[in-house]
Amino acid sequence: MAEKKMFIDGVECPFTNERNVLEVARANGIDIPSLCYCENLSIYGGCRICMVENERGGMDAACSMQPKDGLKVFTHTEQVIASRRTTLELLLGSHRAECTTCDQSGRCKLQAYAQRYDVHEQVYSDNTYSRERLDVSSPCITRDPSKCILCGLCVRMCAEVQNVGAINFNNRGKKAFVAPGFGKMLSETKCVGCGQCAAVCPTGAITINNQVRQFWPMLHDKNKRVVVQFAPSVRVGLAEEFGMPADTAVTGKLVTALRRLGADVVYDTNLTADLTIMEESAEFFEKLERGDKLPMFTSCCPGWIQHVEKSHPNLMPQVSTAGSPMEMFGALIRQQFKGEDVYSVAIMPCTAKKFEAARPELEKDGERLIDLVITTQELAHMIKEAGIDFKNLPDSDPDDPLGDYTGAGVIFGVTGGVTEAVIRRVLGDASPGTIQTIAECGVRGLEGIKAFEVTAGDTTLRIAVANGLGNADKLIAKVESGEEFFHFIEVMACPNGCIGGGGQPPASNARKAERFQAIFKEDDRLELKIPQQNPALDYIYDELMKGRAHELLHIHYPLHGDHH
Amino acid sequence: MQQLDMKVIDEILERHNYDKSMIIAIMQDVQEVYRYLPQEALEHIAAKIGMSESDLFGVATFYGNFSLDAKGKYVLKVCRGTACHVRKSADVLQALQEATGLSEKKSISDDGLFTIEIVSCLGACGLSPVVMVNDTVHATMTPEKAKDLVADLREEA
Repeated sequence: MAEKKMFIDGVECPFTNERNVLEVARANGIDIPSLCYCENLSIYGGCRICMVENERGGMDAACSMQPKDGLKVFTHTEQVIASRRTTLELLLGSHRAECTTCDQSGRCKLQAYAQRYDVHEQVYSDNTYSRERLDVSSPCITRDPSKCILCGLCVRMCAEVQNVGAINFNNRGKKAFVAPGFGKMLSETKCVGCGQCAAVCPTGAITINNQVRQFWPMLHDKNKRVVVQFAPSVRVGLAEEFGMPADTAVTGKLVTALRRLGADVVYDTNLTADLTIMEESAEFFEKLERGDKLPMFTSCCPGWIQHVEKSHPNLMPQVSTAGSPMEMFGALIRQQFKGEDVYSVAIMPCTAKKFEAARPELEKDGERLIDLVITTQELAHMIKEAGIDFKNLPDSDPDDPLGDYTGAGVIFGVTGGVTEAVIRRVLGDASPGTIQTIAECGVRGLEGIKAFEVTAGDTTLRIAVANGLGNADKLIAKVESGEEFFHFIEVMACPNGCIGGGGQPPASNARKAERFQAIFKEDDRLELKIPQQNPALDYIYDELMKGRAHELLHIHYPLHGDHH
Repeated sequence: MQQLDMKVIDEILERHNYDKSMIIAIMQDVQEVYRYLPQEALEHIAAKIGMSESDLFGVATFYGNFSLDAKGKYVLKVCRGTACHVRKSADVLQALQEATGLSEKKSISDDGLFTIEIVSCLGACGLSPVVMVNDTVHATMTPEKAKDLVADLREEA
């Protein structure tokens, strides 16, 4: 078939299967603005900011327009510019613009477009922004209807990708606003705190619960020993915030930055990712031997745990009781610094971790395991606040004796990573050939659902990996109907896994694919590949946790039941 | 007032084969029985047909015909359109409010009998001022006739 092409502003733009003119334009270096469009969601066509002019002088929304061979459109004619400006003026007429103090300032698309398209004044002075109340009921995200422009991205993200449907449009016309409905707050819904709504929100209507102000006083307190751990995927999301390429991991700089902020001890959560694998794989083989109901589900993702509790409570006994890497490091820190005044902080790519850290179950020996969770975005903010030139920081290593980790820990940051680490652990062979064979077994990749078989000795295991709760639900439906059987299922609530977490800087699919590369580059860089090679494990099992490993490293949520 | 009975809701769902695409018809049937959409009924429906609660709330609040507030046995629709306004429908409304003890803020009378709704036009301008009681039109109303109407309805109930 001959190559298809259309003309945008007179520029010849070849296209293949792009879903709309907007994507064709962007692929060819012409940035048509959009507020209600996202490549991963259905097309809404509501914001009208992406209007383009056709040959006959008619106007169409580029997001809702099919590319056709020979089609001609124009993206900055007099008519288009006037329409765009009017649209922005109308949006600003019902938006509570408090840009100087807004958390989203600098990232807000509405703010950026107002600047880009020369909207310099509030034309409609009787601002009709929504007076619906602020929702701070979730420890993960904050919902502020007064800044909402009704683009519906959060609504579609929550329903289409996550299959949760916690929020929707309420009322219609000028009384419309986005909320859970029935006057409920987020904490009263099936919201799991994944933060994907905040990641797609073009304004400050849904933001991460910003806890930076709780962190600073602790860093300034001379009597507190502030111990900070950071998750695998933080090292790949952070670079972009400082103008560095997305396919680079910045582990060493991250450690240095945390010390400069005032952290007394810095650990890499990768260590307890290794530990999670040790505990989880042991639990799996116990279940297999005992003939317990399978599949066993992974337990490191707090969004997934909440989804099971709220939407699939019957499956909870099949979810591993192994604590998340964050929880396990929290337990190690309390043992390592027993009796000291320690403030335990976790830097996470994840908004749901804020909820997990506050759960009553995350307490051992009467102490909270994690005092505070700070997301990648909040950390980037703090680094900027402290005036640190991140890009030019020297590298440094985490503290001893809990500073070791293997490649198996790093790859927790992407979908399939936990499973790949489990397979490495089970096959127990760190030779490059075996590591490569595992990488090619079907576990790697950003597809929403992956299913494959792995043979270990004389057992063949059927394994599935899902990312995004909608995909997890599809998989569960197949398992519950008996259509498919799996021994082991990994679920990460966020699309692409933690690299695309709600606490990370929001990113396009292409950017997330680069983060994916960065994680595996980091794995390649490390000499140790399988969890049991981690030299810190002996110290942990034989000294620090002696006799108490199971008690301290497992979390029993109420719906787990008591047969564990 | 009729007590909420999930069996009734289930019968309605059964009649529509638990079909998501029939959600408006399902909600109309529920409203037919209870005169409004009780929150518990919508939550029950959401769980049964696999839609989210926020979805159902969105539909219920999008259409003006659905009500989430309990309504009295008699819904008095008072027309405040232009023709009725000129023929003093404001006085009729005030008389109805006094007779029933309702106000703009109070949507259902204590005895559960009355709800007053203000509508823009009932399309019967020649009969103005007009009040509709459920499906019956009452023409050329006056404050006195309004008081009598409420008294008659009370007796009937």
